[in-house]
Amino acid sequence: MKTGKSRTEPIKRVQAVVVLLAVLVVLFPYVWVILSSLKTPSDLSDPKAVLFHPVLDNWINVLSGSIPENFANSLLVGFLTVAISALVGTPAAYSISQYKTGGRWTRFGILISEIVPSAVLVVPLFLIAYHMKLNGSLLPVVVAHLTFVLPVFTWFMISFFDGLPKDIESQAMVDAAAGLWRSGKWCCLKCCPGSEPPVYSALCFPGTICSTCLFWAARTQKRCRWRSQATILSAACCWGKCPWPSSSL
Amino acid sequence: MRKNKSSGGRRSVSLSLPYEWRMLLPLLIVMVAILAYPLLYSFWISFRNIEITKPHQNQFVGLVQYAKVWQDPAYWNVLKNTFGFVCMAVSMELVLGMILALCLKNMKRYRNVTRAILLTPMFITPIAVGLMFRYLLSTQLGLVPALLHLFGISIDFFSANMALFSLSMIDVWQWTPFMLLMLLAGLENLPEEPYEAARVDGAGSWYILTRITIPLMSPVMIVAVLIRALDAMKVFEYVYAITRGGPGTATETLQYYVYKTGFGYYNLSKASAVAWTVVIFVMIVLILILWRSTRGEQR
Repeated sequence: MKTGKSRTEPIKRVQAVVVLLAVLVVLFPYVWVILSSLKTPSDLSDPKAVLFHPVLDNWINVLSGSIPENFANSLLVGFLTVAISALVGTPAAYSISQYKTGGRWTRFGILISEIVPSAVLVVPLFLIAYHMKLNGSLLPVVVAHLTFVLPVFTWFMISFFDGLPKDIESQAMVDAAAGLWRSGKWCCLKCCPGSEPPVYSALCFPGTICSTCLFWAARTQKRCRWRSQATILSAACCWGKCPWPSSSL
Repeated sequence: MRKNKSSGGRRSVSLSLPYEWRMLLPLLIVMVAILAYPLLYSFWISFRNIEITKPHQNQFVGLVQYAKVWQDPAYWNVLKNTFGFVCMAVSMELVLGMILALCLKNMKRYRNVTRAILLTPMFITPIAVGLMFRYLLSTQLGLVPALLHLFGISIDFFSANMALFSLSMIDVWQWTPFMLLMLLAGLENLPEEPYEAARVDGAGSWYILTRITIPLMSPVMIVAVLIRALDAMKVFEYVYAITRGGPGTATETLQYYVYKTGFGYYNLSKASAVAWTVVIFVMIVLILILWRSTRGEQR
């Protein structure tokens, strides 16, 4: 027993060191960005400076500029995308999970957009938006996000419904004595205490991807209103004055 | 418009459909409208000669665009860059993710905190990560070159030789957590019995790792690598935020090349053709992998 313990002890120590290193590597850029955001332009040229006179100018510039508006736009796009995905994807996922509708074809067909590089969809979506005189509005951005958020969301929900115990569902059916749709709803409500996390993660995950994808925004818009995500950090880092190439977006 | 029309037209049809298909119908309609239609449209565009700068030019030209792409040395350079990027990034991510997952699996103290911190990079917008590293690694403003300088090393991270490697390391910083997450989930679901048996037989840690853990983990690893590789192929943000394909064309990747052709040179048809070559390539690879894995299942 004792020998076993003494053999695993150094391994554990090495493991702890590795994890600690990884944590430091992850945190290092954050710390540096926060420090930089409090520096004046002249302090910035000395990247090693840790002690300096912090100024809030950059943050004030950022918050009084167009960032809050951009942020609101991002949130709106994220919200619309997730809402549509939830409305359309949830019943479909339930149907695929419980009734195996369409067999393997629907199950894996959904993931096709994950395979297709977004570059393929960029040109047609841009042209469609252009012909419908929609470029410059939020709608093409939402649609573009939907092309990959909706499949991911549905995929998440399928595995979530797959994991639901069957007896809860039959119990709900007895309880509700109602149609299948209602039992489906019931089953979600009943399982909620235990299954909130997957639902939340299913909702949050696309939400985060959603707010990330500059590619789409930049491409379908051809305008610089969509600098939002890009600017938040860059501006916070005080390069608001640097020529971040807004005109070329 | 298109969506409303089709859903209105199908309403009477939909009532006659079985219940489970009616639940699936909205998804199918939306997928056709936002995915299938644009995909086919893009395929159609790739056989024509649409350029934004020449609004009246719109003829069927057959495979001319594909031939142009095939003969374009820039295209092969882009493929080489993308392939290099994917290989460097994904292999590093797999190794680091596996090491970290093994370390985290048995960790008891600070378990949740470390996991939470390690997963954060995944949730930052790639464009912000790109900008962050653009300045962090910049020779004038960046801390990393400054620190390396203290040790007498001077590296220009965005020089022609290093830029692609630097970009892939940024990808590693951001996406190793994803690999870690998948591998950790895989590790925690492994059965205990083989390990107990091995320990009874007196197997060492290294032996257990190479003969039990890695073979048992290989399905998870394949899926994780596949997902990451497909995702890394779509790299755009880092290139766009940091190098814009430069220096020269050293870091032009597929997605960036499509963007440049389509929206820089306004040659929409050629951009579509390039994108479709990628789709075809990815499809072939995936079908091969799926075919092999289903054949394995049937045995």
